[in-house]
Amino acid sequence: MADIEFFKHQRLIVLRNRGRIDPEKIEEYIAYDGYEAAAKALASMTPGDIIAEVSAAGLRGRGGAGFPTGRKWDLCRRQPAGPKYLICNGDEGDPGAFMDRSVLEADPHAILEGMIIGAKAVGAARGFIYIRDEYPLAVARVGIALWQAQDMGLLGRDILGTGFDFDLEVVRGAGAFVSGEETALIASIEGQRAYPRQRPPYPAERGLWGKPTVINNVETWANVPSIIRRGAAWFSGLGTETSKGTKIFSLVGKINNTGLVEVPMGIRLGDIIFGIGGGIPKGREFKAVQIGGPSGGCIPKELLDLPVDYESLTKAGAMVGSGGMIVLDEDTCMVDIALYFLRFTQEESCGKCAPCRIGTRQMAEILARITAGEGRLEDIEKLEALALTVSRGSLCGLGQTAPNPILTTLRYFRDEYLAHIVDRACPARVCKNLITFTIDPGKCVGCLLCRKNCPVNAITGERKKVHVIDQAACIKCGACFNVCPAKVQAVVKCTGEEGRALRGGTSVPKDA
Amino acid sequence: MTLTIDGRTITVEGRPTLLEAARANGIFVPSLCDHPGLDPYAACRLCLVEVKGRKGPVPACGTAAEDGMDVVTSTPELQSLRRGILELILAEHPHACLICAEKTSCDDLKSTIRKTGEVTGCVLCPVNGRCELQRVVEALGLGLVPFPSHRRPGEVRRDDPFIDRDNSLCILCGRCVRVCQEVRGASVLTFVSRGSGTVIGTALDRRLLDSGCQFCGACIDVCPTGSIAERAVRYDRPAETESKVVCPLCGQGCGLLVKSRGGRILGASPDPEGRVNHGQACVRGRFLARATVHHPRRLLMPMIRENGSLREASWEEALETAASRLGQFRDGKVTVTGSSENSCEDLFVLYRFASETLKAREVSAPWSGTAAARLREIDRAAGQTAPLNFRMSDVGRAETILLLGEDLPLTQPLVNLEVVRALRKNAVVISAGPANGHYSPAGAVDLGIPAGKEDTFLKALTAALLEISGRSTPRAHGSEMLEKSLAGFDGLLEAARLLLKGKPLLILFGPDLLKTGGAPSRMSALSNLAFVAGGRLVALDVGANLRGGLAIASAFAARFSGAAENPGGSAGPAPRALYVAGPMPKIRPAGAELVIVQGSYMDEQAEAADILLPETTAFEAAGTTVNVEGRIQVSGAAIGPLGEARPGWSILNSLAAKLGTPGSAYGSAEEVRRDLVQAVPAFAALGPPSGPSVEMFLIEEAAGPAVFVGAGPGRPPKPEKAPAAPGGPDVYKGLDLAREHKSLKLLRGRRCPRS
Repeated sequence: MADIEFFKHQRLIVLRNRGRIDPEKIEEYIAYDGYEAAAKALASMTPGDIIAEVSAAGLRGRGGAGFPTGRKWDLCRRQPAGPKYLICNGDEGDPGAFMDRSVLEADPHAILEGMIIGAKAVGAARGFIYIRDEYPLAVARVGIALWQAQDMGLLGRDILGTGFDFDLEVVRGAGAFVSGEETALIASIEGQRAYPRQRPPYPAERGLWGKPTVINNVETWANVPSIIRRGAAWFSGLGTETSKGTKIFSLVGKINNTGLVEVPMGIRLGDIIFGIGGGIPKGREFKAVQIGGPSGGCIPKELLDLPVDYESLTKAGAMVGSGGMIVLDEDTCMVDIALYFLRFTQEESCGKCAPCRIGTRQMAEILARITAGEGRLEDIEKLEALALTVSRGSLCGLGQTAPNPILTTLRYFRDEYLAHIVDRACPARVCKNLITFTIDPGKCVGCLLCRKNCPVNAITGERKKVHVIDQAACIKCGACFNVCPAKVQAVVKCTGEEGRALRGGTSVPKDA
Repeated sequence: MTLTIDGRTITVEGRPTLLEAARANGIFVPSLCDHPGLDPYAACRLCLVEVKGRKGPVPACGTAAEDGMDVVTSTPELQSLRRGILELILAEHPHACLICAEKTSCDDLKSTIRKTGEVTGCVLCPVNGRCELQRVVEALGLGLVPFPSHRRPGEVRRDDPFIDRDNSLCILCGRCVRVCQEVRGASVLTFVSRGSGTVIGTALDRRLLDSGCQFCGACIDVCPTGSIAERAVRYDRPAETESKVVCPLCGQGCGLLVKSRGGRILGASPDPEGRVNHGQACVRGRFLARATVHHPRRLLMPMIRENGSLREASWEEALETAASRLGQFRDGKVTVTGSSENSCEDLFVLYRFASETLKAREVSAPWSGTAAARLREIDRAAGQTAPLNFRMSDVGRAETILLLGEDLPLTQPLVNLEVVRALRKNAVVISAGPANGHYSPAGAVDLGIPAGKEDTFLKALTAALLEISGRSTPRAHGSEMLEKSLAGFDGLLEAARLLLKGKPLLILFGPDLLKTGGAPSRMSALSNLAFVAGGRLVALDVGANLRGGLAIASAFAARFSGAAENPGGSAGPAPRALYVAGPMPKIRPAGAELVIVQGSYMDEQAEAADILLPETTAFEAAGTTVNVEGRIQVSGAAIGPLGEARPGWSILNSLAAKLGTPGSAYGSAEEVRRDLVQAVPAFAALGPPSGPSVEMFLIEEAAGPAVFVGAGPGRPPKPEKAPAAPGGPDVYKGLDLAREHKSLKLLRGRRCPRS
């Protein structure tokens, strides 16, 4: 596999069992060293040993924020005795990421094992795996895994005869993006509305039902068995100075090889996109990659050498976040993409705190205005001020990061905003209000395809004769553009002055 | 601990939030969602401050003060951040007037009254001038809102009694939802929908009336804007005066702030500084003050029966007639009734009048059959003294509570809040009551008692407790016996185990438990249950001044010849004259030659009177009352007496003077109070001049060790007497508000047995 570009750059730790074992058979997991780490931790390690190992490995939260896992566990362990809880956060709300789902479905026992180890480390007797209900297969497979582990004495009372008790149960998510925020998720398990609350106190101090609670992402838990089994030194040998181990990304969008990729931390961004991903299809040009989910940021092609780790991504304006990587090609309008993500965060804002609830809406409306060609120069200033208010003022991570798509596109693609506002043009020819479809008379072969496909009969023309689009009737659906044969390419999109001239409209005054 | 706020070194007690610490030291931090008594929420984000060493600004309301913290509450960046957030908040709220340059002059020129359905600006807003948003805008100096306005959809909801809800004024601070859930335990109001579509509403968008709302009005009082408003006062002009009155409408003794203008009461809201209620009240105190005082059936003139019908008369004439006719019936031929709705001053003068002037055999009053009186009787008989006094906060601090059949939200709304508080602290609450439906707060263990099995239930529970704690003797409680006695009570053994889990254990009971048959034996069973469980009995009676009346009655007990017959009762000769200053079981007993009624409302009792003497309500006259806790409170008057009405003590005082009793001429309520303290030792706490910070309670005998009350000798010496009917929790001085007030009638009509 070392010669295949797609596999060459990958290093499978969390995904090692994917497709290799039957996730519904605990025996197969055990056959690949499964539950060896749990046995080791329960039989021969003290809670302090486990936490020291996880800390030395340098494991950081894979939910995106990258809080050191060992430190979180230690904080929880040092809380006064009493009930403590573990939670596995499987509420993967980013529509573009699916690594948690994959792990839950393909290797559920790795999560169970990680949680058993974590339970011993912090002294918890009860844990919850919170899975979004849109993942029915994950719910079913984790259920089977729990049943099998209980049956084999790996969960429940006196695990493996070590006298350690730990029970796990599945909680099905209530279906909101914000439920993935840890305090909101805890509220959701408690049966409350999934509203986040102010931290501190952190869940490790006051979590589920007010008790110390360790809440980690699916991928974090799935990393734990390997660390215990193979040692901290092995794990910390992978990655960069501050970011250790591997990270799974879901590579989607305008890229040849889509899917989940597990790469060592610190890998060059370009290696993921052009190595593993195999570049952009149809010979298009790479424009940017949107990393970290709906509130991640867009990284432009100038930063392809960026090492992929927590700090570098944050510095570039994006974040590890959900681990989603959406590749954008030259046909993507960056203002439009910012609007797309803002609409998502606006809809998914829980509504509790004022800056996020109202600010995301106002930002989305300004962006909508710009893409509609009604932007004003002061809108950019307004967006920047709003982005600051929302990111500094919001209660939880959702609001604090929601302006990222705007901030990064403004940072790297400001000229596109200006083109929309000043020239009333969409350089990527996406924003409908700013583009005009026309037929190049020199190229048109008169095949009638566009005429037949036009839903509003705006195209006139006869066989073998040049077709013409009636601009007054055109609804800019793009059907003609899509059906025009690739070797002809007579339908073209125009924008700006050129487009307006075609429509016969007057040019926009410069100061508008 | 010590911390620094804005460069000032500040020492704080306990574990306050940064906002509390700042406010306590006079440092203003703008805030909209925080409210005393509610958990930190940190949603409005206006109280963001900077703490050295913390990343980014933190909300002062949601951050606990820590020793050595260095806090800055105001920097140009913070102010600009706050303004940015406030601009966003205002984009969801009608704000034209808030940022208008003419707003100060506009108010003077405003000509229309704000009788509009929808509020589009401050000049039309019911809370104009009291709106917290106005204050924050003022403090932050906002001049412009650079965003398009988003009005929340939906009309003003006016389909509920008492309350109007207008979502377009809502800023989603969540105070109403939180007070409804955290403090009231009702969870009627909730957030509906998500994100910018979030609104405050009820489950399935039903009316409050159909959502289990008890209309305590707490949501109105916490609302920073006019989003939730009291309909009756919404369109009123602002009040002229605001007076502190102790609510006379039940035994809780809540402090109310009664607003009035031109001698008319406009409305009332709970006093945030109220000792008993800390800013909470119930539907009666919150909404019914005006209707109670200004009821169309109020008696405003003295009346005399002439040729079979009542005619208005002057005080002089009425008193003269009353005195001359009463004079014929002294020495036991007259029966006097008293009421728990009168103040201690009224009752003290009444008892003096009855014993000294009329030489009546006793004063018949509704406290003879109350829970407190019964508990006192059984204690006396058994030779133990358990205190009747308690504090509301004792209930909130209890680890275990056994609630026996009382419908707390109706009869003891403030005690109920303490039960809710205890539940929030994970206390065990067992609610036992009629199997066909009784009040049981959310989170309580529910036990049904089949009708007529109350005594058996108490004994079975006692037996189960003895069995569990290993104290049962084989003779008395063999396991077979136990099983037999437990039969028919599901979950009783489990409940008994729970009862022993944590101390303090409080057993709350009230007249509901005692109203059906066999009260003395039930009382001894109850006393034994408390003894075995190691718990404390808390008697919860309903009348406003029952404990005060009880204390005065026992001080006067020796002065009456006693053995009087129940007025209108079957035994013995009927009294020939009645002085009615309290409820009567029979309107006009046969053989009564003279009936004088001293009351506030024209009701059946008043209509049967020969002479009617109009008495003020508690809102019109200052007076002292003792609440269910045994707490002595001196209430002010909100307005002057209506019409010709006079305070009860004053009427009796004049009458006594006319009848020629020496040494009973009181000039003011204070003089009566001074005499009361002298004559009734239980009121000693009221004696010394006390500041507002001193809490006053009735003086009780020192508590002695508890004993097991035997089945035989535990009977009280006196024969059982049917208590005079107090009428129910919504009755004030004979006026049944649940029947008379349209909105309350609607609410009570919805009350169905809950289980």
